[in-house]
Amino acid sequence: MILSLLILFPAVGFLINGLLHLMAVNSKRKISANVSGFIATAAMVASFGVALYQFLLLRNIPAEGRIFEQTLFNWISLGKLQLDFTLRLDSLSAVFCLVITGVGSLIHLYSIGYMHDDETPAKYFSYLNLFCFMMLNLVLGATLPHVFLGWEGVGLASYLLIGYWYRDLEKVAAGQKAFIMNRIGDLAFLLAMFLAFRATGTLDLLQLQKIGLEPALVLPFGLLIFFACTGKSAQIPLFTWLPDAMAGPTPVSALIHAATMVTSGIYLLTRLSSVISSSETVLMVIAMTGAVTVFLSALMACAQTDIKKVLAYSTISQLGFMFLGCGVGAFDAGVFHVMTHAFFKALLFLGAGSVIHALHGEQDIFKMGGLMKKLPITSWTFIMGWAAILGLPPFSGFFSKDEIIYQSLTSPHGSVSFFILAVAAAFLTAFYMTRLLVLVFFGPSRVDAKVAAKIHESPMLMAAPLIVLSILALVGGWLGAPVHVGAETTTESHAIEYAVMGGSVVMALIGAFIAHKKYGQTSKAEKVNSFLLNGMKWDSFYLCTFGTGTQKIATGINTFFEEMIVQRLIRWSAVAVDLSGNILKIAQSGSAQGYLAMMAIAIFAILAWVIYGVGQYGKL
Amino acid sequence: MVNYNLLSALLSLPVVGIFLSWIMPKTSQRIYAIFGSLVILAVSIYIALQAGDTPWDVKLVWLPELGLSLNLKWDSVSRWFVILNSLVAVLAFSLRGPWYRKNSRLFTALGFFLMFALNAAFLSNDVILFYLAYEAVFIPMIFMVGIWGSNAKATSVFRFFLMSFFGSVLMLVSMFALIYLFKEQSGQYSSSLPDLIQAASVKNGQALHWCFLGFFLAFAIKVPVFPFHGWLKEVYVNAPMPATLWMSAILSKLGVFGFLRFVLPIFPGLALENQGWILALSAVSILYAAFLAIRANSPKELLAYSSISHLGFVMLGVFSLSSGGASSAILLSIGHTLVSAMLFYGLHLVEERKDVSDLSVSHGLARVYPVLFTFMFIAVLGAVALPGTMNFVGEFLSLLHAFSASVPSVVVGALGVVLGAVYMLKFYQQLGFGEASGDQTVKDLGVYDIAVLSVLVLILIYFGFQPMLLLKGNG
Repeated sequence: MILSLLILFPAVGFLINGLLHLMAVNSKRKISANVSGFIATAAMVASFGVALYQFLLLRNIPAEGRIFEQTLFNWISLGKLQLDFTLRLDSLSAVFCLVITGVGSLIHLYSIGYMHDDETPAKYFSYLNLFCFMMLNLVLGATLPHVFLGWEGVGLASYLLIGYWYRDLEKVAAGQKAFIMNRIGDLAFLLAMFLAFRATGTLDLLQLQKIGLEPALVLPFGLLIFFACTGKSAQIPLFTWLPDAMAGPTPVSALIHAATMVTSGIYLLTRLSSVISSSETVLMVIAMTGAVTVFLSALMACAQTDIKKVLAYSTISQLGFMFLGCGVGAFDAGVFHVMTHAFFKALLFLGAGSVIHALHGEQDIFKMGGLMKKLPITSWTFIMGWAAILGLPPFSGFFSKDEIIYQSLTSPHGSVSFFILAVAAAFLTAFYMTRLLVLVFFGPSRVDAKVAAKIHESPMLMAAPLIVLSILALVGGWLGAPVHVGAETTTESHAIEYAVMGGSVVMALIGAFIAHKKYGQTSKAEKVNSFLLNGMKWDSFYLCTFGTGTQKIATGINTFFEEMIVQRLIRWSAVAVDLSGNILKIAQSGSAQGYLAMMAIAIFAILAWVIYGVGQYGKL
Repeated sequence: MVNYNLLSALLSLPVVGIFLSWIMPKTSQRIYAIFGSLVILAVSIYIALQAGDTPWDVKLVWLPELGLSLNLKWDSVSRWFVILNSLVAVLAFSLRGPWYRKNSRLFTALGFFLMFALNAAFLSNDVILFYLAYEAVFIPMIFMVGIWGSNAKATSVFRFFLMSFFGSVLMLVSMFALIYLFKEQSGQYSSSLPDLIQAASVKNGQALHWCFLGFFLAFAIKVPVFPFHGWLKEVYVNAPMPATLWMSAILSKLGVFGFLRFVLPIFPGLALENQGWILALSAVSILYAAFLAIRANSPKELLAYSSISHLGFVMLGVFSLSSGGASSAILLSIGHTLVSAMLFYGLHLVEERKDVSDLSVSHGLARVYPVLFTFMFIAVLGAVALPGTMNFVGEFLSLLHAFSASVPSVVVGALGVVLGAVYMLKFYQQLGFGEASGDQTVKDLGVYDIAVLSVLVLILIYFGFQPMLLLKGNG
């Protein structure tokens, strides 16, 4: 069994680069980005090779038995709880593994160019490998605590990489916010595990699927799991960390905050679909959250001026699509969209990174424009990504998104309102993406003169991943969803499907046309709606409720309870002891000495005890 | 016989250590102390390997008329605390500071005395011996705070110790009551634990209730559990760093050990009867201390409160009243010992380099001392119980077992998982992140500190994946 190699390679890469980094900083030297990047990329490519090999093997097995398992060691065994550290590969985790290692390899490669001038590239690459290691554990873990290991592990890597440039306190705060909001979700995950174990006596995912939960427990379990997923996958109400997470290096945004980590919510929901989908309420909550998130975050994306923030809100919106898919019972459509989205969103982020790189750090889209001629590779690949996210046939996004929109209407769990929100979001997606496209690559240049002179196309190391991803964004849809998870698929007449297909494409084209009209010739910054720009003020709401709330509770507890009661009690009890001490004349010159004397007597008593005891023993 | 010799070596070696410290030259006390505690650590580990899964029980009758005997027990409850005692001593002795410049012999002697008293407490299978050892632990602590403490108002610090003394007096009364009970039943005095367990199992009624409360109060103050934690902050903050390290890493485990060794075996029925509110109190303790840690503005104060908060999780495991829960509590105790020792050790190394007493400003030291801060970060990960560390397994299992006993307590206590992240990140970020100010002339870690911290990190992570090795022989 070579399954463990899959996680071993990134682990080794992490250790090598981590130690290299520590040794280098200790002797005030620098490891070059080429060396550390090569190690990290080689680890990922090797891991991808293993994933591909295992995937091909898996396909040769009849569908029912498509599971590879490798138990590495016994992790926890205490009473009823028996947890092995087992890796389990089935069709679902195989898709995720391919995306993580495949897209991961490309982004590692790209990072070599992007982080070339960074101070501590070995640290960066060790974190990136750590992330992949944890993400692979998340999707390969056979038990819920093993998944949780990956779940919190990717959160850790994400924290480290968002605050990678930690001299900037704003970036540190962004990382902290991501970690803490994710922890709120993790709390729900923990409670869900306790609940499941109490009810079934197992935390193994297969066992859990077999046994299932009694109907009364499905609702709390499903909601807890779902809440955990809203944290990791940045859905309402826990989405506000993702736009801030753009503080990290752009390849990180592409890998962690677009292609892989944020989709782990969809992974978990799909993994547990057979357990949770017996509750209508749980499914409805998932679908509703997805539908509302899809729409609202698409709206917020329309007002962003930072190239990465547009893509961040877009990611939240696309994740909303996936949740909507899961919520209407079309889990495989959700997973399909995870895959195509990984291709085109990674492409768009890396393209944005290439633009930022060329403009020496500029991220304001109103200070770009007309870059088509100067950055041909970046532009053309970005256009491919744009077409894919719009869902234009035959690009990959078309197939997966169309499937979700179709299911939101026709699935037994679907409804017209979900459909309307989804189509509206498709329209808005076309609008904000076209706005982005024309503001950055077309129209008049608004680039600062100083910067403009130095614009150059990215090096081949960065361009190559763009080209590969753009091909995947084009043909990814034809790969189809190679997963078959326990979800209902309806085979209605194709008429509705074609109508939905055509409708959503037309909506997208209208949105694109309007945006093009509005922004095609923009020569100065637009006055944007500050309510939308600030993510509908969710953040300020959290800050003045939970943020200051926590501080207020802390201060309140301190002044009213700790100082007034607990500390006062201590003083009184001390005084009382003093007094009694005086009365008993234990101590003449202050209580402290008296107690010291008493204790000194105690020590001699013990010594005598022990020594006498030892002596007695000798005589026996 | 071999067993007896080995176990009594754990008591006699520290005593030898005390006397040798007066012979050793003043200037090489640190090396002597580290070496001496390493020897005792080696002996404890040797015993652990010799004993394997079988408990060792040695009893030596001394004055049968008074029921006095030397009664020692090495089993799955005591062994880790004994081993950790020596490990913590190695770490505390390793810290450089004024204690090796002024009265260095006294410091070493006090340290060995502390090891002696703690080993006696952890090994004792006899309530009176335990009580004496338990009280004796205060002596070196008071001296350390008084002589090397940061605050001139040492007497005010003594007062805070008195509170914990107050609790142990009640415990002593309860012990006498139990001894009397046994005398009533069997006609002879005995203070050995098995006898008292037997006495308490026969008797029922109000008196036993008071005994339970006496024990509970003493150990609840020691852990401490809210609202008996009032003494802790002043003592932690004003104590010299080795003393703080000792208190947080191992003295706090005296309370945990007391619950596991005495309270649960002597009063199984009463523990069950009172389980509800004790679990609730533990959960409140987690949150209460976490909130105080969030607003703490000195790193020592923050870590002091975080210690209370984490021990709340241990208490949830203990009072889940299942064998698995007790095992998880021991596991989490070991993890907490390692992590808090690492944190205070690291904090001391930071303080040697720069004054960081104010956490409301960011010090930006991670870039200046990258190796030190890498270790600090791993310790922080242990403190927030990230999976992969021992603390995760301990915390997860403690909560899991408590969940079967009380869902609300676990839901409330688990909120500490989020708050823990808030204050531990604050701790790390304010020390490490941002721009560094002033000149940084002191170097990053030396070889010795790197070696010590690396060993701790390896233990923390190795047992995060192989935790069951620590629980071998637990029922």
